[in-house]
Amino acid sequence: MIAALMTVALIIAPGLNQKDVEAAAAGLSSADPGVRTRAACDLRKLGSQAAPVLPRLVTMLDDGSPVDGTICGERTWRFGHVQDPTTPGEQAASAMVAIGTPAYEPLTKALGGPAWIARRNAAWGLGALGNRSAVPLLSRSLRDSEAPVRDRSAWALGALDASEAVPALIEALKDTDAGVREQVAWALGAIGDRRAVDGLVGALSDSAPGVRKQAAWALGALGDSRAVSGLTRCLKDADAGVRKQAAWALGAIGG
Amino acid sequence: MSPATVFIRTLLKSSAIFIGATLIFLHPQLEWRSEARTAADRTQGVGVSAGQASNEAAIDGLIALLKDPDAGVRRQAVRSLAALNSRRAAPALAAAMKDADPDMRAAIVGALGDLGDTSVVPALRDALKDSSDTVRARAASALGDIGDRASVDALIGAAKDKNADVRRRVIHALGEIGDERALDTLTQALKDEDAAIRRAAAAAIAEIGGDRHPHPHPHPRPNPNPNPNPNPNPRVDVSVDSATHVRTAVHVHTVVR
Repeated sequence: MIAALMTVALIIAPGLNQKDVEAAAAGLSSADPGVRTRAACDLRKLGSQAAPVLPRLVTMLDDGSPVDGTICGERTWRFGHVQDPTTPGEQAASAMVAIGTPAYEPLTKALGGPAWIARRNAAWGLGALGNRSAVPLLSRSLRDSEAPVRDRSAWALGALDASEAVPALIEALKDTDAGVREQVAWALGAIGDRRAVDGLVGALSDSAPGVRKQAAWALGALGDSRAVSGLTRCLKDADAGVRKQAAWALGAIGG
Repeated sequence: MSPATVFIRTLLKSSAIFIGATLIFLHPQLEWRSEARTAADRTQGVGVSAGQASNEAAIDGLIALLKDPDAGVRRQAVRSLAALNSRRAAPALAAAMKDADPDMRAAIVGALGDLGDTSVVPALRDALKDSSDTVRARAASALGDIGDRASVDALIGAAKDKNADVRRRVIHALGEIGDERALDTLTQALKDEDAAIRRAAAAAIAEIGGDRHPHPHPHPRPNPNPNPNPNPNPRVDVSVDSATHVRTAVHVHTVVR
Protein backbone atom coordinates (compact mmCIF):
# COMPACT_ATOMS: atom_id res chain seq x y z
CA MET A 1 0.00 0.00 0.00
CA ILE A 2 2.69 2.46 1.12
CA ALA A 3 4.95 1.31 -1.69
CA ALA A 4 2.17 1.90 -4.17
CA LEU A 5 1.59 5.41 -2.85
CA MET A 6 5.29 6.16 -3.05
CA THR A 7 5.41 4.94 -6.65
CA VAL A 8 2.48 7.20 -7.56
CA ALA A 9 4.20 10.09 -5.78
CA LEU A 10 7.41 9.46 -7.71
CA ILE A 11 5.52 9.42 -11.01
CA ILE A 12 3.64 12.66 -10.42
CA ALA A 13 6.47 14.47 -8.56
CA PRO A 14 8.35 15.74 -11.67
CA GLY A 15 5.11 17.11 -13.08
CA LEU A 16 4.36 18.90 -9.82
CA ASN A 17 7.87 20.34 -9.66
CA GLN A 18 7.53 21.57 -13.22
CA LYS A 19 4.43 23.45 -12.11
CA ASP A 20 6.26 24.68 -8.99
CA VAL A 21 9.10 26.05 -11.11
CA GLU A 22 6.65 27.95 -13.28
CA ALA A 23 4.71 29.24 -10.27
CA ALA A 24 7.85 30.39 -8.47
CA ALA A 25 9.28 31.94 -11.61
CA ALA A 26 6.13 34.03 -11.92
CA GLY A 27 6.84 35.48 -8.46
CA LEU A 28 10.32 36.57 -9.56
CA SER A 29 8.82 39.46 -11.57
CA SER A 30 6.55 40.72 -8.77
CA ALA A 31 6.76 44.38 -7.76
CA ASP A 32 6.83 43.31 -4.10
CA PRO A 33 10.37 42.46 -2.93
CA GLY A 34 8.90 40.06 -0.37
CA VAL A 35 7.21 38.06 -3.13
CA ARG A 36 10.39 38.08 -5.23
CA THR A 37 12.41 36.83 -2.27
CA ARG A 38 9.88 34.14 -1.47
CA ALA A 39 9.93 33.00 -5.13
CA ALA A 40 13.71 32.63 -5.03
CA CYS A 41 13.44 30.62 -1.78
CA ASP A 42 10.90 28.29 -3.39
CA LEU A 43 13.18 27.80 -6.38
CA ARG A 44 16.08 26.97 -4.08
CA LYS A 45 14.08 24.10 -2.62
CA LEU A 46 13.65 22.67 -6.11
CA GLY A 47 17.43 22.45 -6.54
CA SER A 48 18.71 21.64 -10.02
CA GLN A 49 15.18 21.49 -11.38
CA ALA A 50 15.16 25.28 -11.28
CA ALA A 51 17.91 25.37 -13.95
CA PRO A 52 15.53 26.68 -16.70
CA VAL A 53 15.06 29.94 -14.75
CA LEU A 54 18.80 30.44 -14.16
CA PRO A 55 19.00 33.52 -16.49
CA ARG A 56 16.24 35.24 -14.50
CA LEU A 57 17.98 34.51 -11.20
CA VAL A 58 21.15 36.07 -12.62
CA THR A 59 19.34 39.35 -13.36
CA MET A 60 18.04 39.34 -9.77
CA LEU A 61 21.51 39.16 -8.18
CA ASP A 62 21.74 42.96 -7.86
CA ASP A 63 18.34 43.23 -6.14
CA GLY A 64 19.20 44.60 -2.69
CA SER A 65 15.75 45.50 -1.35
CA PRO A 66 15.75 44.62 2.34
CA VAL A 67 13.19 41.98 3.26
CA ASP A 68 12.32 40.39 6.58
CA GLY A 69 14.57 37.38 7.16
CA THR A 70 11.70 35.11 8.12
CA ILE A 71 9.95 35.55 4.76
CA CYS A 72 11.14 32.17 3.54
CA GLY A 73 9.19 30.44 6.27
CA GLU A 74 11.32 27.75 7.82
CA ARG A 75 14.03 28.55 10.26
CA THR A 76 17.29 28.14 8.43
CA TRP A 77 20.54 26.97 9.94
CA ARG A 78 21.74 30.51 10.51
CA PHE A 79 23.04 31.02 14.03
CA GLY A 80 20.95 33.34 16.07
CA HIS A 81 20.05 36.34 14.01
CA VAL A 82 16.91 35.02 12.30
CA GLN A 83 15.46 38.51 12.23
CA ASP A 84 18.34 39.78 10.07
CA PRO A 85 16.98 41.17 6.82
CA THR A 86 17.62 39.33 3.60
CA THR A 87 17.28 40.48 0.00
CA PRO A 88 15.89 38.98 -3.23
CA GLY A 89 19.46 39.05 -4.58
CA GLU A 90 20.81 36.96 -1.72
CA GLN A 91 18.10 34.39 -2.12
CA ALA A 92 18.65 34.36 -5.89
CA ALA A 93 22.32 33.55 -5.27
CA SER A 94 21.23 30.82 -2.88
CA ALA A 95 18.89 29.34 -5.53
CA MET A 96 21.74 29.48 -8.06
CA VAL A 97 23.99 27.55 -5.69
CA ALA A 98 21.23 24.96 -5.32
CA ILE A 99 21.11 24.57 -9.11
CA GLY A 100 24.78 23.67 -9.01
CA THR A 101 27.39 23.50 -11.79
CA PRO A 102 25.43 25.47 -14.45
CA ALA A 103 25.47 28.47 -12.07
CA TYR A 104 29.28 28.70 -11.95
CA GLU A 105 29.78 30.63 -15.21
CA PRO A 106 27.05 33.23 -14.53
CA LEU A 107 28.35 33.78 -10.99
CA THR A 108 31.90 34.45 -12.22
CA LYS A 109 30.49 36.95 -14.73
CA ALA A 110 28.48 38.68 -12.00
CA LEU A 111 31.61 38.89 -9.83
CA GLY A 112 33.20 41.03 -12.56
CA GLY A 113 30.03 43.04 -13.19
CA PRO A 114 29.27 46.72 -12.54
CA ALA A 115 26.69 46.30 -9.72
CA TRP A 116 28.37 45.85 -6.35
CA ILE A 117 25.38 44.12 -4.77
CA ALA A 118 25.53 41.49 -7.49
CA ARG A 119 29.31 41.16 -7.00
CA ARG A 120 28.79 40.61 -3.28
CA ASN A 121 26.11 37.96 -3.80
CA ALA A 122 28.17 36.29 -6.52
CA ALA A 123 31.24 36.14 -4.24
CA TRP A 124 29.16 34.39 -1.61
CA GLY A 125 27.68 32.06 -4.23
CA LEU A 126 31.09 31.07 -5.55
CA GLY A 127 32.25 30.22 -2.05
CA ALA A 128 29.13 28.18 -1.35
CA LEU A 129 29.27 26.42 -4.73
CA GLY A 130 32.63 24.88 -3.81
CA ASN A 131 34.35 25.07 -7.19
CA ARG A 132 37.97 25.97 -6.51
CA SER A 133 38.50 27.35 -10.03
CA ALA A 134 37.01 30.57 -8.64
CA VAL A 135 39.98 31.17 -6.31
CA PRO A 136 41.97 33.55 -8.60
CA LEU A 137 38.86 35.64 -9.29
CA LEU A 138 37.95 35.81 -5.61
CA SER A 139 41.55 36.74 -4.69
CA ARG A 140 41.27 39.67 -7.09
CA SER A 141 37.96 40.67 -5.49
CA LEU A 142 39.76 41.13 -2.18
CA ARG A 143 40.73 44.49 -3.74
CA ASP A 144 37.18 45.40 -4.85
CA SER A 145 36.17 49.03 -4.27
CA GLU A 146 33.21 47.94 -2.10
CA ALA A 147 33.78 46.55 1.41
CA PRO A 148 30.88 44.03 1.33
CA VAL A 149 32.32 42.48 -1.83
CA ARG A 150 35.76 42.15 -0.19
CA ASP A 151 34.11 40.71 2.93
CA ARG A 152 32.24 37.96 1.07
CA SER A 153 35.27 37.22 -1.11
CA ALA A 154 37.36 36.63 2.01
CA TRP A 155 34.66 34.34 3.38
CA ALA A 156 34.45 32.47 0.08
CA LEU A 157 38.22 31.92 0.00
CA GLY A 158 38.08 30.51 3.52
CA ALA A 159 35.12 28.31 2.61
CA LEU A 160 37.01 27.02 -0.45
CA ASP A 161 40.07 26.30 1.77
CA ALA A 162 42.12 28.26 -0.76
CA SER A 163 45.73 27.99 0.45
CA GLU A 164 46.92 29.59 -2.80
CA ALA A 165 45.08 32.76 -1.73
CA VAL A 166 46.97 33.04 1.58
CA PRO A 167 49.40 35.78 0.40
CA ALA A 168 46.49 37.89 -0.91
CA LEU A 169 44.58 37.34 2.34
CA ILE A 170 47.61 38.33 4.45
CA GLU A 171 47.73 41.54 2.42
CA ALA A 172 43.99 42.01 3.06
CA LEU A 173 44.59 41.99 6.84
CA LYS A 174 45.46 45.68 6.22
CA ASP A 175 42.05 46.42 4.69
CA THR A 176 40.57 49.81 5.65
CA ASP A 177 37.31 48.17 6.76
CA ALA A 178 37.32 46.43 10.16
CA GLY A 179 34.58 43.98 9.16
CA VAL A 180 36.64 42.86 6.18
CA ARG A 181 39.76 42.42 8.32
CA GLU A 182 37.76 40.28 10.74
CA GLN A 183 36.49 38.09 7.92
CA VAL A 184 40.00 37.81 6.47
CA ALA A 185 41.35 36.67 9.84
CA TRP A 186 38.63 34.05 9.96
CA ALA A 187 39.51 32.84 6.46
CA LEU A 188 43.21 32.54 7.35
CA GLY A 189 42.34 30.48 10.41
CA ALA A 190 39.95 28.31 8.42
CA ILE A 191 42.55 27.64 5.73
CA GLY A 192 45.12 26.88 8.42
CA ASP A 193 48.28 27.80 6.52
CA ARG A 194 51.19 28.65 8.83
CA ARG A 195 52.48 31.36 6.49
CA ALA A 196 49.76 33.50 8.03
CA VAL A 197 51.23 33.46 11.56
CA ASP A 198 53.17 36.73 11.35
CA GLY A 199 50.32 38.62 9.73
CA LEU A 200 47.83 37.35 12.28
CA VAL A 201 50.13 38.17 15.20
CA GLY A 202 50.22 41.70 13.77
CA ALA A 203 46.41 41.70 13.67
CA LEU A 204 46.40 41.02 17.44
CA SER A 205 47.21 44.74 17.76
CA ASP A 206 44.39 45.82 15.44
CA SER A 207 42.36 48.84 16.58
CA ALA A 208 39.08 46.87 16.32
CA PRO A 209 38.40 44.35 19.12
CA GLY A 210 36.51 42.09 16.71
CA VAL A 211 39.60 41.75 14.53
CA ARG A 212 41.86 41.05 17.50
CA LYS A 213 39.46 38.38 18.73
CA GLN A 214 39.18 36.73 15.33
CA ALA A 215 42.97 36.82 14.88
CA ALA A 216 43.39 35.13 18.27
CA TRP A 217 40.94 32.45 17.16
CA ALA A 218 42.80 31.96 13.90
CA LEU A 219 46.15 31.63 15.68
CA GLY A 220 44.68 29.01 17.97
CA ALA A 221 43.37 27.20 14.91
CA LEU A 222 46.82 27.33 13.28
CA GLY A 223 48.39 25.94 16.45
CA ASP A 224 51.81 27.47 15.82
CA SER A 225 53.88 28.16 18.94
CA ARG A 226 55.37 31.32 17.37
CA ALA A 227 52.10 33.02 18.30
CA VAL A 228 52.46 32.36 22.05
CA SER A 229 54.13 35.68 22.96
CA GLY A 230 51.64 37.77 21.04
CA LEU A 231 48.70 35.88 22.50
CA THR A 232 50.12 36.24 26.00
CA ARG A 233 50.12 40.02 25.54
CA CYS A 234 46.45 39.76 24.50
CA LEU A 235 45.57 38.24 27.90
CA LYS A 236 45.69 41.85 29.12
CA ASP A 237 43.50 43.22 26.33
CA ALA A 238 40.87 45.78 27.35
CA ASP A 239 38.17 43.67 25.66
CA ALA A 240 36.93 40.61 27.58
CA GLY A 241 36.10 38.75 24.36
CA VAL A 242 39.69 39.15 23.17
CA ARG A 243 41.09 37.97 26.51
CA LYS A 244 38.88 34.90 26.45
CA GLN A 245 39.77 34.06 22.86
CA ALA A 246 43.49 34.52 23.54
CA ALA A 247 43.23 32.26 26.60
CA TRP A 248 41.51 29.65 24.46
CA ALA A 249 44.14 29.92 21.73
CA LEU A 250 47.01 29.44 24.19
CA GLY A 251 45.36 26.27 25.44
CA ALA A 252 44.74 25.10 21.89
CA ILE A 253 48.37 25.67 20.85
CA GLY A 254 49.53 23.67 23.87
CA GLY A 255 52.82 23.53 25.71
CA MET B 1 97.91 -18.95 49.67
CA SER B 2 100.08 -19.43 46.64
CA PRO B 3 102.44 -16.70 45.49
CA ALA B 4 100.43 -16.39 42.28
CA THR B 5 97.21 -15.67 44.23
CA VAL B 6 99.00 -13.10 46.39
CA PHE B 7 100.31 -11.42 43.25
CA ILE B 8 96.88 -11.26 41.64
CA ARG B 9 95.23 -9.92 44.85
CA THR B 10 97.88 -7.22 45.16
CA LEU B 11 97.44 -6.33 41.52
CA LEU B 12 93.65 -6.08 41.91
CA LYS B 13 93.97 -3.95 45.08
CA SER B 14 96.42 -1.53 43.50
CA SER B 15 94.39 -1.26 40.30
CA ALA B 16 91.28 -0.60 42.39
CA ILE B 17 93.13 2.19 44.16
CA PHE B 18 94.31 3.50 40.81
CA ILE B 19 90.81 3.44 39.33
CA GLY B 20 89.39 5.14 42.40
CA ALA B 21 92.02 7.85 42.29
CA THR B 22 91.39 8.37 38.59
CA LEU B 23 87.66 8.71 39.20
CA ILE B 24 88.19 11.24 41.96
CA PHE B 25 90.57 13.15 39.75
CA LEU B 26 88.24 13.05 36.77
CA HIS B 27 85.06 13.76 38.64
CA PRO B 28 85.26 17.55 38.72
CA GLN B 29 86.30 17.45 35.13
CA LEU B 30 83.15 15.48 34.25
CA GLU B 31 81.18 18.10 36.14
CA TRP B 32 82.89 20.84 34.21
CA ARG B 33 82.33 19.07 30.92
CA SER B 34 78.62 18.71 31.56
CA GLU B 35 78.39 22.37 32.51
CA ALA B 36 80.17 23.31 29.32
CA ARG B 37 77.70 21.19 27.41
CA THR B 38 74.65 22.82 28.92
CA ALA B 39 76.15 26.20 28.19
CA ALA B 40 76.61 25.17 24.57
CA ASP B 41 73.08 23.81 24.47
CA ARG B 42 71.85 27.05 25.84
CA THR B 43 73.42 29.05 23.08
CA GLN B 44 72.55 26.55 20.34
CA GLY B 45 69.01 25.88 21.50
CA VAL B 46 67.90 29.48 21.83
CA GLY B 47 64.66 28.68 20.02
CA VAL B 48 63.74 25.92 22.42
CA SER B 49 64.46 27.79 25.63
CA ALA B 50 62.82 30.94 24.27
CA GLY B 51 59.77 28.81 23.48
CA GLN B 52 59.76 27.42 27.01
CA ALA B 53 60.13 30.89 28.45
CA SER B 54 57.20 32.18 26.41
CA ASN B 55 55.09 29.22 27.52
CA GLU B 56 55.92 30.04 31.13
CA ALA B 57 54.85 33.63 30.48
CA ALA B 58 51.64 32.37 28.91
CA ILE B 59 50.91 30.25 31.98
CA ASP B 60 51.59 33.26 34.23
CA GLY B 61 49.19 35.31 32.13
CA LEU B 62 46.53 32.62 32.31
CA ILE B 63 46.95 32.34 36.08
CA ALA B 64 46.43 36.10 36.32
CA LEU B 65 43.20 35.72 34.31
CA LEU B 66 41.78 33.49 37.06
CA LYS B 67 40.90 36.82 38.73
CA ASP B 68 39.45 38.43 35.59
CA PRO B 69 36.24 40.43 36.15
CA ASP B 70 34.56 38.47 33.32
CA ALA B 71 33.36 35.00 34.39
CA GLY B 72 33.67 33.61 30.84
CA VAL B 73 37.30 34.70 30.68
CA ARG B 74 38.03 33.11 34.06
CA ARG B 75 36.49 29.79 33.00
CA GLN B 76 38.42 29.81 29.74
CA ALA B 77 41.66 30.44 31.65
CA VAL B 78 40.91 27.35 33.75
CA ARG B 79 40.29 25.21 30.68
CA SER B 80 43.44 26.43 28.96
CA LEU B 81 45.60 25.80 32.02
CA ALA B 82 44.22 22.27 32.08
CA ALA B 83 44.92 21.90 28.35
CA LEU B 84 48.50 23.07 28.92
CA ASN B 85 48.72 20.50 31.72
CA SER B 86 50.37 23.07 33.93
CA ARG B 87 50.97 21.58 37.37
CA ARG B 88 52.50 24.89 38.38
CA ALA B 89 48.99 26.33 38.13
CA ALA B 90 47.55 23.87 40.65
CA PRO B 91 47.90 26.12 43.74
CA ALA B 92 46.37 29.10 41.93
CA LEU B 93 43.52 26.90 40.69
CA ALA B 94 42.92 25.59 44.21
CA ALA B 95 42.87 29.17 45.53
CA ALA B 96 40.36 30.14 42.84
CA MET B 97 37.90 27.62 44.32
CA LYS B 98 36.67 30.62 46.37
CA ASP B 99 35.10 31.97 43.16
CA ALA B 100 31.42 32.87 43.57
CA ASP B 101 30.52 31.39 40.18
CA PRO B 102 29.59 27.67 40.52
CA ASP B 103 30.39 27.06 36.83
CA MET B 104 33.87 28.42 37.46
CA ARG B 105 34.33 26.12 40.46
CA ALA B 106 33.08 23.17 38.42
CA ALA B 107 35.56 24.00 35.68
CA ILE B 108 38.38 24.21 38.23
CA VAL B 109 37.49 20.85 39.75
CA GLY B 110 37.56 19.32 36.27
CA ALA B 111 40.94 20.91 35.61
CA LEU B 112 42.36 19.73 38.92
CA GLY B 113 41.22 16.21 38.10
CA ASP B 114 42.89 16.47 34.69
CA LEU B 115 46.14 17.61 36.26
CA GLY B 116 45.92 14.38 38.24
CA ASP B 117 48.49 15.44 40.80
CA THR B 118 48.08 14.26 44.39
CA SER B 119 48.92 17.82 45.56
CA VAL B 120 45.41 18.89 44.51
CA VAL B 121 43.68 16.25 46.65
CA PRO B 122 43.02 18.59 49.63
CA ALA B 123 41.31 21.13 47.38
CA LEU B 124 39.18 18.39 45.85
CA ARG B 125 38.30 17.01 49.28
CA ASP B 126 37.04 20.48 50.23
CA ALA B 127 35.05 20.58 46.99
CA LEU B 128 33.10 17.53 48.16
CA LYS B 129 31.39 19.99 50.55
CA ASP B 130 30.65 22.64 47.89
CA SER B 131 27.15 24.09 47.69
CA SER B 132 26.89 23.18 43.98
CA ASP B 133 25.82 19.63 43.05
CA THR B 134 27.91 19.75 39.88
CA VAL B 135 31.04 20.74 41.79
CA ARG B 136 30.60 17.96 44.35
CA ALA B 137 29.90 15.38 41.65
CA ARG B 138 32.94 16.38 39.59
CA ALA B 139 35.14 16.46 42.68
CA ALA B 140 34.16 12.87 43.48
CA SER B 141 35.03 11.71 39.97
CA ALA B 142 38.30 13.63 39.98
CA LEU B 143 39.31 12.02 43.28
CA GLY B 144 38.51 8.61 41.82
CA ASP B 145 40.65 9.37 38.76
CA ILE B 146 43.58 10.48 40.90
CA GLY B 147 43.15 7.37 43.06
CA ASP B 148 44.88 8.65 46.19
CA ARG B 149 44.02 6.74 49.38
CA ALA B 150 44.19 10.03 51.30
CA SER B 151 40.80 10.91 49.87
CA VAL B 152 38.99 7.76 51.06
CA ASP B 153 37.69 9.21 54.36
CA ALA B 154 36.34 12.33 52.70
CA LEU B 155 34.64 10.19 50.04
CA ILE B 156 33.11 7.93 52.68
CA GLY B 157 31.63 11.09 54.25
CA ALA B 158 30.28 12.19 50.89
CA ALA B 159 28.57 8.83 50.33
CA LYS B 160 25.61 10.26 52.27
CA ASP B 161 25.26 13.25 49.90
CA LYS B 162 21.66 14.33 49.25
CA ASN B 163 22.25 14.32 45.50
CA ALA B 164 22.04 10.89 43.85
CA ASP B 165 24.51 11.76 41.06
CA VAL B 166 27.08 12.79 43.66
CA ARG B 167 26.54 9.55 45.61
CA ARG B 168 26.88 7.44 42.47
CA ARG B 169 30.17 9.11 41.54
CA VAL B 170 31.42 8.79 45.11
CA ILE B 171 30.70 5.04 45.10
CA HIS B 172 32.39 4.68 41.73
CA ALA B 173 35.42 6.62 42.97
CA LEU B 174 35.69 4.43 46.06
CA GLY B 175 35.72 1.40 43.78
CA GLU B 176 38.44 2.97 41.65
CA ILE B 177 40.61 3.72 44.66
CA GLY B 178 39.99 0.22 45.92
CA ASP B 179 40.63 0.77 49.63
CA GLU B 180 39.08 -1.81 51.96
CA ARG B 181 38.09 0.90 54.48
CA ALA B 182 35.27 1.73 52.05
CA LEU B 183 33.66 -1.72 52.23
CA ASP B 184 31.14 -0.80 54.97
CA THR B 185 30.02 2.28 53.07
CA LEU B 186 29.76 0.32 49.86
CA THR B 187 27.73 -2.41 51.52
CA GLN B 188 25.29 0.22 52.81
CA ALA B 189 25.07 1.67 49.30
CA LEU B 190 23.76 -1.69 48.11
CA LYS B 191 20.50 -0.57 49.75
CA ASP B 192 20.42 2.87 48.14
CA GLU B 193 17.10 3.94 46.65
CA ASP B 194 18.86 4.63 43.35
CA ALA B 195 19.39 1.54 41.16
CA ALA B 196 22.47 2.96 39.44
CA ILE B 197 24.10 3.49 42.82
CA ARG B 198 23.29 -0.08 43.89
CA ARG B 199 24.91 -1.36 40.69
CA ALA B 200 27.95 0.89 41.15
CA ALA B 201 28.31 -0.32 44.74
CA ALA B 202 28.17 -3.97 43.69
CA ALA B 203 30.80 -3.33 41.02
CA ALA B 204 33.00 -1.46 43.50
CA ILE B 205 32.78 -4.25 46.07
CA ALA B 206 33.68 -6.80 43.41
CA GLU B 207 36.64 -4.65 42.38
CA ILE B 208 37.95 -4.27 45.93
CA GLY B 209 37.34 -7.90 46.81
CA GLY B 210 38.75 -9.28 43.59
CA ASP B 211 41.86 -7.16 43.45
CA ARG B 212 44.49 -8.60 45.74
CA HIS B 213 47.35 -6.73 44.15
CA PRO B 214 49.34 -4.41 46.38
CA HIS B 215 48.72 -1.64 43.87
CA PRO B 216 45.84 0.44 45.20
CA HIS B 217 44.63 1.44 41.79
CA PRO B 218 43.17 -1.14 39.39
CA HIS B 219 44.64 0.72 36.43
CA PRO B 220 47.98 2.34 37.24
CA ARG B 221 48.19 5.68 35.52
CA PRO B 222 51.76 6.82 35.19
CA ASN B 223 50.67 9.70 32.99
CA PRO B 224 47.37 10.97 34.31
CA ASN B 225 46.95 13.28 31.37
CA PRO B 226 48.29 11.78 28.16
CA ASN B 227 45.76 13.67 26.10
CA PRO B 228 46.99 17.25 25.57
CA ASN B 229 43.39 18.39 25.37
CA PRO B 230 41.70 16.57 28.23
CA ASN B 231 38.64 18.74 28.64
CA PRO B 232 35.59 17.21 26.98
CA ASN B 233 35.65 19.88 24.35
CA PRO B 234 37.34 23.06 25.49
CA ARG B 235 38.08 24.25 21.99
CA VAL B 236 34.59 24.18 20.66
CA ASP B 237 33.24 26.53 23.24
CA VAL B 238 35.07 29.56 22.02
CA SER B 239 36.14 28.66 18.55
CA VAL B 240 32.65 27.95 17.38
CA ASP B 241 31.56 31.03 19.19
CA SER B 242 33.84 33.24 17.24
CA ALA B 243 33.97 31.35 13.98
CA THR B 244 30.23 31.45 13.76
CA HIS B 245 30.31 35.02 14.86
CA VAL B 246 31.79 35.87 11.50
CA ARG B 247 30.13 33.12 9.54
CA THR B 248 26.82 34.45 10.77
CA ALA B 249 27.44 37.67 8.99
CA VAL B 250 27.91 35.77 5.79
CA HIS B 251 25.36 33.03 5.96
CA VAL B 252 22.45 35.29 5.46
CA HIS B 253 21.59 33.00 2.60
CA THR B 254 20.28 29.57 3.23
CA VAL B 255 22.88 27.12 2.05
CA VAL B 256 21.65 24.00 0.38
CA ARG B 257 24.16 21.81 -1.33
